[in-house]
Order: sequence, then structure tokens, then C-alpha cells
Amino acid sequence: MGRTVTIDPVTRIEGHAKITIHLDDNGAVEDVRFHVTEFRGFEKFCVGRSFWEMPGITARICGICPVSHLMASAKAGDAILGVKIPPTAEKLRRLMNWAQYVQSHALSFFHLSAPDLLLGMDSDPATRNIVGLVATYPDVAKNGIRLRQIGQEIIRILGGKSVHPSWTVPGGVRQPLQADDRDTIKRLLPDAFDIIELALDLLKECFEAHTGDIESFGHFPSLFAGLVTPEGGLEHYDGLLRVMDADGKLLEDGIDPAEYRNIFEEAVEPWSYLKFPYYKPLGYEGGAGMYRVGPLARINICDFIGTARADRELRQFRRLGERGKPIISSFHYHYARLIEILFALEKIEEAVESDDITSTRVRSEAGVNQLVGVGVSEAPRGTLFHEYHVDENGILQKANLIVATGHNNLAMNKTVRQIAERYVTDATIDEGILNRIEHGIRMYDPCLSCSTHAVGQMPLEVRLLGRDGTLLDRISRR
Amino acid sequence: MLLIIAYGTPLRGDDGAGIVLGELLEHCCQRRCIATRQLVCHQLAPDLVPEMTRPEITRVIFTDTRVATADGSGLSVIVEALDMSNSGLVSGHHLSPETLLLIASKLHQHEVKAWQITVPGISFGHGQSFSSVTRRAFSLAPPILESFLDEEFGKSDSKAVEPAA
Repeated sequence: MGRTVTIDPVTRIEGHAKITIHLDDNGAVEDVRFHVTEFRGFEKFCVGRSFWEMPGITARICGICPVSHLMASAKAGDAILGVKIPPTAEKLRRLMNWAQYVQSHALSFFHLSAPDLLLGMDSDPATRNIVGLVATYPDVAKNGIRLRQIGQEIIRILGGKSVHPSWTVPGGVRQPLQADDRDTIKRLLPDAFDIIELALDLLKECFEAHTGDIESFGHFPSLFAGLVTPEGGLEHYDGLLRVMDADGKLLEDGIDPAEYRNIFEEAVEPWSYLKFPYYKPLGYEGGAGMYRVGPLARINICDFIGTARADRELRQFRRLGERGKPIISSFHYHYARLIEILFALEKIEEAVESDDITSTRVRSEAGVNQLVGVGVSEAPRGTLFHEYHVDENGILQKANLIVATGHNNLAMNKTVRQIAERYVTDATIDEGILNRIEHGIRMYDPCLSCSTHAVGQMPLEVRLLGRDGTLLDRISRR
Repeated sequence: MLLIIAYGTPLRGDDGAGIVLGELLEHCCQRRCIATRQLVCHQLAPDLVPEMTRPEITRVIFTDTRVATADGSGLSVIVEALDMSNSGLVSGHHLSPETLLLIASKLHQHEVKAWQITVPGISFGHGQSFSSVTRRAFSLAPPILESFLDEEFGKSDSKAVEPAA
């Protein structure tokens, strides 16, 4: 009789989820599903609110990446106003967005994933966490805390607080940057550069110990999608949509992000609150339209990064795969994430050195000029879309949010299946396997609070079910 | 210096009571001229460690909401000394006060006296108002806080603080 393993809750990710592994009569993996089990429904309760309020409201979707929602929401508001925001306002928005990359990626790498990478997938779960890291690698832990603190501090300087700053508005930002605050940001950067260089070395030293993981943790061909600059460079705030296949061929390029519905569509499954976006021309069936977004995708699809140190790192990164083809192992999300921190720091340095960064012209004033506004930006976890439909008074009639974790849903499901196929060989699972499956999800650094627009921690349960649905085994962690 | 770390979600009913409790405590301390710094956050994260380990910080108090027990006992503000050896399993983005103390000790060899002061809550839905249980606990809180401060910082001659609204 076939069986199903359930992992519930998944830990060290943001949100609530479980994983079920279905085994056939011979104990081989037949199917694996990553279920997102929380629901909030921001798209519904935003209806009836003014679009002016949306950055503040949608930022509350998440406590980790509120800045991403601020950006996409304010950009949707810019579109409704029909304005081009002042150059300094755009620089300041980008500055906050890069700071968010620093803090969010630092959290993912140092606090959530480093325990697995440095202490081992099979190490004692009681100490395979930030506390264990502190005990064994105090400098790494200290660096992680410091780097995240630097990112948070820059956000606080700009927005008044590091979580949920109500700072971006349709048309620009609320306040300019003061000269002494700019100087404070400058002083934070040398520490941050030192830490990220050390982290890159540390990660690369780990590769040998994780050779098997690199080959089985989301190692499959897929499409990759995200924004690039008009010249094809790495982009985190604006730009044009690009979709690349597993051979490095561009399926889409130079697409106006407002036209995203022409290339992406969303499917739903009855067993998860997280929708399943797919690349429309290839369809949903059989996972043909599956694509990945986020750090790995962004680093794969760009022609170059555009800053000196990160471009040097990009050349090393690309040596991990076949020439001219994208890197297909999701394990390398970690590497891509660190490269993006380096890029973000270089861009922050460049921005605070620019002459007009303290200009007081930071807001374009207008009323409602368009009844539909689409705002797109790259959140740390991937491409984020906010689409608002308003009436003549700017009151929301309809909202649609597609978030990074949703884009990666098909790939995360395939990843946990691949890991399960490699490690689950009979009807039982041990703690090490549980953790490997969790790490498969953790690599994507999913934010389920964002993706279902819900809030909470991310516990995991694995269930082993018979073909008839009978619960045969269960392992969980809270 | 005393560091007050007040945490909770102010848009989630009683969950925001820890923040108000922190303000109340800071007010009590100011009346006694106790050097105090207050931080407000949604949840406890490792980024707080550098703040806790500043050289001038000698005491840390965490203020939070606790879920009121069903039997109706423990409906007042409770002060508990914290022991970092009680840090539990860490599996999410947020940490316990004990875990933060442990990290501060291990990384910076900075040990402080620490307490958690909690106010009971029963309503955690969307909203900015407090339940009757939480409001009642606040009305009874000042003498409890004053008594704690007397014990830890010495008696004060200042007039007792007004109950929180």
C-alpha cells in the first residue's frame, strides 16, 4: 500500500506550511506537495481604500520585506498619478531597496541557512540554529547580526523606522535625505564590505562538503524570470522583464512590466493557499511553464551586474555551470544572494556619493490620471507585482498582488520532490532527511506571509500517507 | 543604564499592550531619574544584541503581552527575572528574551540583569483597542512596577504614577 510522509511545520522560513510526500506500493516517492496553509486576503480587504494608503497598508503584509511592498505599491501609485518621480526620489527609493536586500539576504544566509551549511544537515536540531552558530562560529554569527543591523539602520535613517516605514508615497518619498544622515550611511559601509567578502569566502569553502546537496537540491532545468536594466544589467527596482530558458535562450526580453499578464498566468490547487504562477506560452500542465525568480534567477538572466566587485564575483559564479547556460541548482541561491548583497552595498556607496542625493525635490504632485496602475520591483525573493484598479476618486475597486514566493511555487514543489526522491527510500524519515527537505524550501527564502499575504512563523510537518489517504507516519517541528 | 525592549504588534489588539507597558515603565523610571533607553519592536530578532551589549547597559527589561490563562488566574502584570539558560529551541525569525541574553553573553561576554514584565491579553484580532482584561491589568500595574523598581533601584519619594489610560 502506498504511503505519505508529512512535514509540518516547515521551520526557519517565514509563514506556515507543510510538506506531504506520497509513496507508492514499493516505498518509492510518487508525489510531493508543498502546502501553504495560511491565508489573509489583502487583495480583498484593500478594496474600498484609497490608493494613497496602499504603500502603508501593503507594507504590513510582511515584517521582513515591507520595503518591497512599499516600492511596488508606490510605483503602482505613480502610474495612477501618471507621473515620473523626481530623480532624487528614485535614488532614495533605490537606496532603501538596496538596504533591504542587505538586511533580508543577511537574515536568510547568516541566521536561517548558515546553521545547516556550517553545522551540517544532520547535526543536532537543538543547536542547528542561531544559538548553535553563536557557540561554534561566533564571528560568523556576529558578522551576520552586524550586516543585518547595517541594512536595518539605513532603512531607519531614510524611513524613520526599520520595520514598516511609511516613507514611499505615490509620486516619490515623504522626506529627503539630510547631509549628516548621508554621512552616517557612508560610515556604515566599510564594515559591511568586509563582512560580505568574508561570507563569500566562507560559502565557497562549504561547496565541497555539500556536493551531493548541490546536485540534488533543486537541480533541474527550468525557466528563469526577472527584471533587467534596459542594457541587460542586474536590476532590483525597475527595468524590463526578461525570461530565459535552461539553455540560456531568451524567450522574452524588453517586456514592459505592466504587460506581465501577457506572459504570466496563475493556477490554483485545492491543497494550497499559495497560487501557482506559470509562463503562459508554455502552459501549466506538466510544469512546462515553471520558472524561478529571486537571486538565482536575477544573476542568471542578467548579462552583467554593473558594479566592479560584484561583476568579478559573477564571473566566478558562472564557472559553476556550462558556458553560456544558467546555473540550475537552487542550492546556488545562497551564492547569488551574497553576490546581490555585494552589489547592493556598491550601489549604496555610489548613491550616497552622488551630488543630488540630498536634494529636497523628492515628490511629484498630481491627482488621479489613470484608473489602472501596475507597480513592479524586485523584492529580495523575486519579482513583485502590485496591480490596482481605482475609480475616479482613487478608491480601489480591485487589487492583484503576485509575490516572489508564488512565482517559485512550482519550483519549490519540484525541489522537495527531488530531495525526497534522493533521500526517502522507505516508509520512515529521520531528522536529517526532514531538515534536508526543509532546506530545499529554505534555499528559496520563501516569505509565505507575503505570498498568501499572511503573517506568522514557519513551522513544518511531514506526513506519510497511504494511497488511500491513511496517515502512516508523521514528523513535525514547531 | 536600563534598556527597555517593548515588543508586540500595535495593530493586533492586546498584542500591542507590551509597547504601552514599556512606555508606562519608562515613565516610572523617569520619575525616579533612572537612566533609561527604550526600544520598540514587533518581535525579538538578533539585531537587538548590539543594543543590549552597549557598555552602558547594565539591566534589560522586556515588556510583552502574555496570553491570559483560561482559569482567570494571573490577570495582573507579572515581573519575572530571566535566566538565559532557559533559552528554547530556535526555529523561526524571532527569538525569546532568554535566547537574546544567551547570544549577548556568548558573543560579547556581556551579561546583564534581565527581567520580563508581561501584561495579560485575550484579544489578538485586528484593532488598536485593548480588551477589558488588559485594561484592568493596566489599572493595577503602577504599584506593581513601583514595587519592582523599589526593590531593584531603591525606594523613591516621588509620587506614584497615574494608572495608564
